Parts: sequence; structure tokens; C-alpha cells
Amino acid sequence: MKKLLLASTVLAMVAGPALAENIKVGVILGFTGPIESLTPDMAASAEMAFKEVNDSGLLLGGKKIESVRADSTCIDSAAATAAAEKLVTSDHVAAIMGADCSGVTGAIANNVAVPNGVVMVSPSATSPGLSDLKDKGFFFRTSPSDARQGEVLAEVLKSRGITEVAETYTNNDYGKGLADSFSKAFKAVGGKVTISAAHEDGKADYSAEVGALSAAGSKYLAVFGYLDQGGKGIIQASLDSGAFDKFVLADGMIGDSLITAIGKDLNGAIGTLPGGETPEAKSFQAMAAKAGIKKGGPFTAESYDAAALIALAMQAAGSADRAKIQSKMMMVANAPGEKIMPGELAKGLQILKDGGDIDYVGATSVEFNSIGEVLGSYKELEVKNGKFDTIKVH
Amino acid sequence: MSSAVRATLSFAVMAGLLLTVGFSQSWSVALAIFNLCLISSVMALGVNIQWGYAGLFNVGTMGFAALGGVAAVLVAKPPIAESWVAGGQNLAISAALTLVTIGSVLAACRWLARGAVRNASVIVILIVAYVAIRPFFYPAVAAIEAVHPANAGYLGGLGLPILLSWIVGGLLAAGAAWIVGRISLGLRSDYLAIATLGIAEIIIAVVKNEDWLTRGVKNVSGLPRPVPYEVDLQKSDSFIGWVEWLNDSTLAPLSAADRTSQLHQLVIEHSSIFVKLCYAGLFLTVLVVILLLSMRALNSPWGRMMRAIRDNEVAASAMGKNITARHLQVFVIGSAVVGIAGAMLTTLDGQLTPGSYNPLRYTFLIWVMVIVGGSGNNLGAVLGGFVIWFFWVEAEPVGVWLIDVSTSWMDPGNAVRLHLMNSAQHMRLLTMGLVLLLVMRFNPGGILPEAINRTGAKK
Repeated sequence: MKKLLLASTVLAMVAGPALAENIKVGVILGFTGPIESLTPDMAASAEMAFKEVNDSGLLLGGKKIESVRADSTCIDSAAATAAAEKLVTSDHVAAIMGADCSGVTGAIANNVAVPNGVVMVSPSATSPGLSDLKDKGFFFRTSPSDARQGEVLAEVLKSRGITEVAETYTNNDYGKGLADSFSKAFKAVGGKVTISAAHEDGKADYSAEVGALSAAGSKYLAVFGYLDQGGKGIIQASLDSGAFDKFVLADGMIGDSLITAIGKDLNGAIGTLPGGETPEAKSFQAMAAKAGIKKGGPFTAESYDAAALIALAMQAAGSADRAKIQSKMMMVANAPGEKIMPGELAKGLQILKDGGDIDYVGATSVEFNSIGEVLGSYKELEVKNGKFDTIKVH
Repeated sequence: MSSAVRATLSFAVMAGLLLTVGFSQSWSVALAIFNLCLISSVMALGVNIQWGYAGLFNVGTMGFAALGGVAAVLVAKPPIAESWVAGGQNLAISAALTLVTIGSVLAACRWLARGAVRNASVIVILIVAYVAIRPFFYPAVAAIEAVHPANAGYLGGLGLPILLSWIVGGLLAAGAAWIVGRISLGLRSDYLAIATLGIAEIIIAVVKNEDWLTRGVKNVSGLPRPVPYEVDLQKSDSFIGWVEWLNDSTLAPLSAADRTSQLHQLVIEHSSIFVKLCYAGLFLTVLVVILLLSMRALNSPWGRMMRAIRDNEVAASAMGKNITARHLQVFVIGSAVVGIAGAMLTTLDGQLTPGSYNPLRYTFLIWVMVIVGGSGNNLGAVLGGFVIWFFWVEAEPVGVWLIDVSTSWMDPGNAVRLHLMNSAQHMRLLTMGLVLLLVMRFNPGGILPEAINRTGAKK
């Protein structure tokens, strides 16, 4: 079904003016580049929400949303800006779902979305720096800023009586931002970070980094990296040299492939991951599985929510006008109103059509703060018997 | 076909392609591509000066472009007073000590005779300096980075107009190139390539890790612009009036309500186009100035000497030319041009993201521009910048369209068609390879090959 949808959207995109009565929404993600393995599922999740809306036939008197994909490349701000420019000025999209990586997201917001007055909802840009964007209220994100995860992780460690950790982070805006916020929060709750050292991804050997980390002396090692990149290398080198056997992991490190790679030595590791074990999250996972989307793929739920919010705001505004969509984003996402779960978009559209108010909960319990960012909930995980167990939700 | 006709024709085709995008997609897209074409051309000119004139194989373009970006931050961002208060004093002491160290090393090299004593004293000076600077520098860095790490944590810049950073970027890159050149230009071509490759990575590593200077991988966004902001234009009465006047014929027949909403949309579109035109004017000025200077240089006795050195170092050396000094000169000039382009690019992006500098985009792609355009020919490098950037951006939409059309006879659910559709975005890299291969096969010298004036007579 997902593929059929995809084919039809792409076809529609090329057919262009012939289907002019459709409402176009841009989906700009890094289809090529460093996160190209994640983006197809993210885009498919967003398009799943659009399909749900289209099938209901309730949007603005039966109009259809048509997704127009564009490539953000994840790293090349210039190419991403050009792609977004095309979406906004040539395809005339009503809003944008994206972008993904924090760097290109900032560039698109500053150079295209805000100047043209187009709402942009990023499902995965987590850099704390984006909170300061002069976005005139047009930039939203459905994934929480890393600053929040640092605080949660510090709380988790404190509650377990851990007072000293060494930390290592992947050297990019994600890793560094998270490490900074964690260090600050951990100090605030009385903990001590013995050393904070960067690691670069893609190296064959991490024993030098691990040597420095272990020399600082602490039992726990916090790894803020990627599970199929340097983060895994750090853990392997730590175990090989016996430097550390107790790990603290952030969201980029959570995944079954890490357990497969490391084995039972990972037992006892603790970590945090955005998203709750809520019934909403589970029902989204079930929907996604039916549509052929990989289970628990990073940022798929956030992508679905981002797309759903755009559609609902459109309905609340009563038009696909860019500025009007912006004016209704907060209203549909936040309380008060009837709670809308994933898979219930038709219900939400109907309520809005009848002039009611909704509070979109979605797959990730969306609630925007005053600058259009979610606080998000985090799962506290622990590896037990070779799998990640959810201890509780923060 | 004479080279002049060929050049005119190639640029006409290129202009046609951009106009096609303007008509079929939108003028905003066409101008956005045009602006980046201009910047790419400047960067390609820089590489062409090094490779085309002098045969220097510099694969460290990325590093010099990044230095330009650093200059944009250091010049244009307002200074952060709190950070200066926190770490300024210690930092100033470290800077002073560093200068003293450099001075003493230079003095030692000058006054002491070559030999073990000199080597030993230089080593002692460096060790003493390291020990002396550390207690000042590290606390300074820690203090600066502790100031609001989520949105500051660095010193900020000088708060000067960002246009100035284009010059500073050039100077910064030139300075780095001078140091690099002094060390590595004695190397033979392939060794120089490896050295520049490594040095570019070092520059990126420094920019990524010295947070007190440029926030490192946490990115600096919101750089000031040399041109007006769209949102300000949209509020300005004179701009709205101008748009109204410009579109009088389309607006006049509309009803009052339609007219207001239509005008609002037009103002948004025009503000975006107006800003891009301003950028285009600035970039075009830089490109034309650098191009004219390069063409003059290439056709001067200096240019002939450079080509002589490139084609036969031994012979040129026998004629009394100082090969290493000339190489250093051309290496510095070329790198400066790349630095200017790097600063222009960061200005246009409005942000510095050190994590996004990767060799594929900032070294390899620039080389493809020079080689496809025609190395040794300045116009060729400019054309290469246009052609390659155009395909780099347009390969994606055109690729999707091509695949769709060529598989339209298949069933919409056909697995082959779906697979091709899903990987359409990857057409970008394929297209680059294809363009490079085709040009190399049918036009080994590039689209506009170097025109060699055998008689040496001035035209």
C-alpha cells in the first residue's frame, strides 16, 4: 500500500498542473547523504498520515493532500535551500514536513520557509540551537530538543545513585549539544563528569579514545553517539580493554543492532529514548508495520505526527493558505480539545469541520510549548538478558 | 569552431537552461541556482589558478573554503561581551605568549647557526611555551565555553559588515596557504596532493573542535546579511507600493478583496526574488572582478611564465625561474580566491555548519567543475561552475521526471518501476559521473579547452 501511495504521489508530482485541485505539502528529507537509510521510512510515515486524511475525504470538503518529496542531502545547506526553494516557489506547497538534520533545517528555515511565510515542521532536528531561530512562529518540531534529553538522563542517573561518569560524544551538533546539556544537568543534580571527550565517526579503532576516558577514572561511561558508527566502536574498545563495562546510552545508541553486535556484555546498560510506551505509540507501530515501515524506526512516529498536524491545521484554518495554517498549528496540537490518537485523523477532521476544538496527541504525545517545540517524553531503558527493557517513562 | 564562438555558444546554452528553469519551475529557483553557480564559479576559478596555470594539485579546497566561512563568523557576528569578560584576559595573555614564542623561535632560527644547538633551543622554547601558555589558555577556553553553551559559548565576532568578511576570508585562506605552501610546495605533485588533503582535514578538525572560536559543531546561525531581509521588505510600504506599481496590469481588474490577497502573495514572491537579485549583483561583481584579473594575469608575461613552469619545470628552472617561489605565489592567490568564495557561501547560507564540510562537496565537486569546464581556461572554469552546480541541483527533479517518463509504460505497481522511483534522488551522483565521463570521452580538454597561443604574441 505504501508503495502504491508513493508511486501515485510521484506520478502526481510529475503530472503537476493536471491535478491542481490537490493541496501540495512538501516532504524534504535527506534521501541521499548520511541518513539516507532512515529517510525512506520517515517519508513513508508522513505519507501514511496524508493517505489517512485523503481516505477520510473530510479535508476541506474532500480535497486531497499530495506529497512532494525533495532531497535535503542532510549536509549540503546550499542544495537543501535550492530544493526547498523549488517546493515553495515552483510546486507552491502549502507547508513543509522537514527538514531532518539540524544544519540544513536552520538554512531552509532562515532562507526559505520564514521569508516566504511557510510552516515547517521538522520531525528530527534536535539541535538546541534551533530554539533561538528567529522563526516568526513558522518553525515547529515534533522531536524534542537534545537539551531535554540531557536533563532526563541526568535525572535517571541520579535516581540510580550514580554520581560519576565519563562521557564521550560524536563530534557533531547532535553529540556535542547533548553532551553539553547532560553535563550541565548532571552537575546541577550533584553528579560529576570526570571527562568529556569527542570521538569522530568512521574510525577503525577507538582504543586511544577509550584510554583517555578510562584514565579520568569512573565506573560508568556515557556514550552519545551512533549505534552503527563510533558509538559502537567505543563500546567494543572499552570491553576489549576492560576499561568500562557499565554504559549509559542516549537515543542514537538505542537499537537492536547494538545488542547483536556487542552481545551479553551489554547487559546492565541504561539509556533513554524519546517516545513513551503509551498505547498511542503502540498503535502507531502497528499501523506502520501494516504499511511496511520498519518497526521502531527512528523518527517515523515524529514524521507521522508532523504530517498529521499540518493536515489538521489546514482543516482548522478552513483553507490551505500558508499563513492561516500557521495560525492554527498551536490550536490543533495543544489542549484544550478532544484528544486525537494516531489513526483517528478522520475523527479530528470531522470535529474541526463541525467547529470543535481538538488536542492532537498522536504517536509521540505532541504538546507544543510557546515556541513550537515539544517537550517530549522519554523512556528509561535497561538492557536485560539481551534486550532493551522499558523501566519507566519520564 | 573558434574558441570565442564556442564559449559564447556554451554560455548561451547555460543561460537557456537557467531560463528554462525560470519559466518551468519558478524565478526564485532559477535565481537561487544562479547565485550558487556564481559562487561555485569563483571557487572553480581559484582551483583553476592553481591547477590550470601552475599544475599544482591542491585537493584541500574544502579547508580554504571553511576558512572563508570562519571569517564570516569572526567578522560579522556581534561580540559576546560576557564571554570576553569571562575569558578575555586569559586569552589575551595566551595570545601574547604565543606571539612571544613565535618571535623567539624566529629569533633563534635567525641568530643561531644551523645545527644541534639551534634545534635544541627551538625545542626548549616550544616546551617552555607550551607549559607557560596552558594555565592561561585552558581556563580561558573553559570559561568562554561555559557562557550559555546552548546559544553562545564562544567569543562572537567583531560585529562588522559581513561584506568585509569576503576580503578577510581571502586573507585568512591566503595566510593558511602561505604556511602550508612554505612547508609542502617543495613536494612533488602527488605528495603535495596528499599534504593538502591532510591539511584540509586538519583545518576542519580545528574548526569543529575549537568551540570558543566558532562554536564548533554546534553551528553558528543567524549571520547578518549584506542585503535586506524578506520579512522586512514585506512590511515596507515603499516596497509594497513598488510591487503594486509593477503588477498594476494584473491587479487592476481584481475586486478589492482579491486584490489585497493577490498583492500579499505577490509581495512575498517579489521580496524573495528581490533579495536574490541583490545577492546575484554582489556575487556577479566579485566574479567579474576576479575573472578579469585572472584573464589579465594569464595573458601577461607572468602567466606565460607560469605555463612554462607547469609544462616543463626543469626547462623553466634552467631559464632562471624560481620554481618554488612562483608555486608559492600562485598557491596563495588561488587559495585566497577559494577563501573568498567560501565566505560568500557562508554569507548566503546565513550560517556556519562545520560538520557539513565534506570533501565530496567542497573538493571533489569543485575539481569536477574545473575539469569539465576546461582546466587552464578561466572562462572554462566559470562555465564548469555553472554547469556542474546546475546539474547537481537539477539532477534530482529531472531524474525523478526522467524515470517516471521512461517507466510510464509499466504498471504503476511494477517492482522495477517502484525501485527506480525510490532511488530517483540518487540520480544526482550518477549524473555527475555521467557528465564527467561524457566530457572526458568526447572533449578531453573540457568543454572550453585551454587556448594555447603558440606564437606568444599579445592579442
